[in-house]
Amino acid sequence: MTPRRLLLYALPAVAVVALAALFAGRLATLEDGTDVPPSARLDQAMPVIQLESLHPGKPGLDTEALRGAPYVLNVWAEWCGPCKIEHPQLLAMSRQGIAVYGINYKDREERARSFLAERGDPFRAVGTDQDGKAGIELGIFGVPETFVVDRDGIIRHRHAGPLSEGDLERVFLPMLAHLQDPDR
Amino acid sequence: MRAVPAVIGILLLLPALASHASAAEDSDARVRALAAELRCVVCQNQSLLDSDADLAKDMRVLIRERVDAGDTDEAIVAFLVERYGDFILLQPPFKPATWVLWLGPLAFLVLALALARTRLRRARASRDRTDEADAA
Repeated sequence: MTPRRLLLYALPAVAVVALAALFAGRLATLEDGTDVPPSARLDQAMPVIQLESLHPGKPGLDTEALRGAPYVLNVWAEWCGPCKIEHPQLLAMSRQGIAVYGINYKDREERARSFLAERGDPFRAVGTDQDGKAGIELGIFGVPETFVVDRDGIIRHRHAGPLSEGDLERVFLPMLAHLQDPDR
Repeated sequence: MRAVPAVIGILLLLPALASHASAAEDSDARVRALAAELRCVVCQNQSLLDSDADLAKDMRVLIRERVDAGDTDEAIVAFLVERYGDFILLQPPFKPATWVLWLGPLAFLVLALALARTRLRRARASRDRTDEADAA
């Protein structure tokens, strides 16, 4: 077999391998353990979201007012199982002085309030998204989702699914430390 | 015959009512058409139209509101793409990132046809040669 002919016969195999690599590469951009592609909102400005507080009489959530300092925004619901699993991580961030804000997504407010009363309230402010419009504004695929926003109001990270201790140590804490103090 | 003006009034109103009803039907049709070409992000191989997921319902409501507010189909699709990316479109757009996707099959077809042509030609050429040899 001439070398040229060998090349010709190898072509389909090479094409298959190249396509497989392409597909694998695209699949790898999905978030760990989910079928959620990267957020379309990543590296873009946090949309303007203004919500009433879950706690009557307390100030609500206004993303415009949050500019100037980095923060974490968590979308959660009492009816969502994974939200219960990740809750300790939100409390941990809040204990470390990180500004954590919440959006209570399509929930029964009474139950949401007792959830926070029982398990602890990590949120500096938590708005209620009764009709799910704020969720769509953020482009969420489900709950929980957690966003890291920098001092200029740019979304720097989106995590779909429950936060683990590892997520905090590997991604959230280093990123927030950097955003707090970019020169360090 | 005091009822006559009232009857005439109702008759005059009828076309207006009818056009109102057909406008609502038009909006329904637009919502359905839009929902059919958008992906439910929860159950990802279903359209927003087919899906029973809560988020899909909310998106249908949102599309309905925007249709009623007078937005164009393009504006509504752009609104959702801004939030969910091209992923929300069941039919991927034609752009540099998707050239391989759209043109790949065509390229393979052209390649296959070209290969088939050279093979056939060669086969015919060698057959002709054998025929000549037989004739000689």
